[in-house]
Amino acid sequence: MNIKVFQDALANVDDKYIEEAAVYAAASGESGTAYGQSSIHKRHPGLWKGLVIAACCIIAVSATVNIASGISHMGCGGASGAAKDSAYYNSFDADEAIAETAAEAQASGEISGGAAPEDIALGGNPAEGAAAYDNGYEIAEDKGEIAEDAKAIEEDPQAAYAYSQSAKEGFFSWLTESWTHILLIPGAIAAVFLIVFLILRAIMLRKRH
Amino acid sequence: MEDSKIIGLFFERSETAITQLTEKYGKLCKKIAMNILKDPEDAEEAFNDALLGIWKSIPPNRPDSLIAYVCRVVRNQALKRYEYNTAAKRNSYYDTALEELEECLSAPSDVEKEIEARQLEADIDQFLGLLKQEDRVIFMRRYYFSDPYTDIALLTGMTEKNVSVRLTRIRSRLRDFLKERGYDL
Repeated sequence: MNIKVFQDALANVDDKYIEEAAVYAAASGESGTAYGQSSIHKRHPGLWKGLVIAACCIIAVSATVNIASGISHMGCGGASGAAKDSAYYNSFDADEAIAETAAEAQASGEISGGAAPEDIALGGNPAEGAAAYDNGYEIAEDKGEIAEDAKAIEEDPQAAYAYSQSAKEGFFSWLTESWTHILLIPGAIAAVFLIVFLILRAIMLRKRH
Repeated sequence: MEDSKIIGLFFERSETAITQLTEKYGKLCKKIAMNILKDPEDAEEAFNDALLGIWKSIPPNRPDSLIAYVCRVVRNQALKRYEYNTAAKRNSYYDTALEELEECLSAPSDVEKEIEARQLEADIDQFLGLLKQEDRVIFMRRYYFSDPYTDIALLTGMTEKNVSVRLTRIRSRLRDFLKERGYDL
């Protein structure tokens, strides 16, 4: 068989195939209606690619910001939000322990003053309460009833932020705060890889042309 | 205007039929002619010859698919002119498209028979029926409409490289298909 025979046979191909191919051209501005892919895809073949890249950029930026936030938990003295929370909760526990100890000390006559237990717990205004609280604090401290982080808050609230939680612990506590944080890392890596791949591909194609 | 109405105008011998046909399919027809002839003047003349041919053939013919009918007439006119033009010189572009096909068909030409030609038409139809729609369109656009890769890529939303690879696979399938049916390739 030679090409002429094939060409003649192709010339007599079924009308439906000619029509199908001719109408397919509609989206490129010839005539009729497009089959198959959406016409917007044919008119703007780069549009979807652009949208994907834009979405990846948004994910990458968002992920980077979030991860940076996580890393900042490591950076600011190694104290994470979780660590701060933990210290504050411990300080409340410590308050109770102090109040209890102070009340016991009052009852046993170890310390003087007639402060009510709630005044002691507040450690606030009534002078007697404050004195009792201070005394109670010292006794509770001696007894080891005050957690280290709560003690740090009592002594220097600013220093509490630098409470000795390691950077690694800070980062992992941020990471496990929400499942979205865990997803952000592979998401960000994938988005960055995709962007780099698409950019390199575009450069290669441009070079080829 | 709907195709059936345009055909109706041809049957009424109204010259509006030519205007409507040109308005609806003129761009496509000129593209087909241009793809084959690669010369705007030749393409325009081939298109005008095709319009005359259509005017003369409808009636009595009443095509089921006007677009396919018009494409066929325009292509035949363009090929006639092409053969005339290339009696002295070769049009490298169109020959390139045909040579791609020839790679999977080449064989001595002295064994051609009318029966084989008819059978081949049926087999090509069958082969096209086996292809996915997109592959079929790519094949037809390349080898019937003689579209360049660039246009097919734009049409299908693929890259030129993808179109080229897809065509290579289709040709390979065509070769296997024809071999299975006992064609001497």
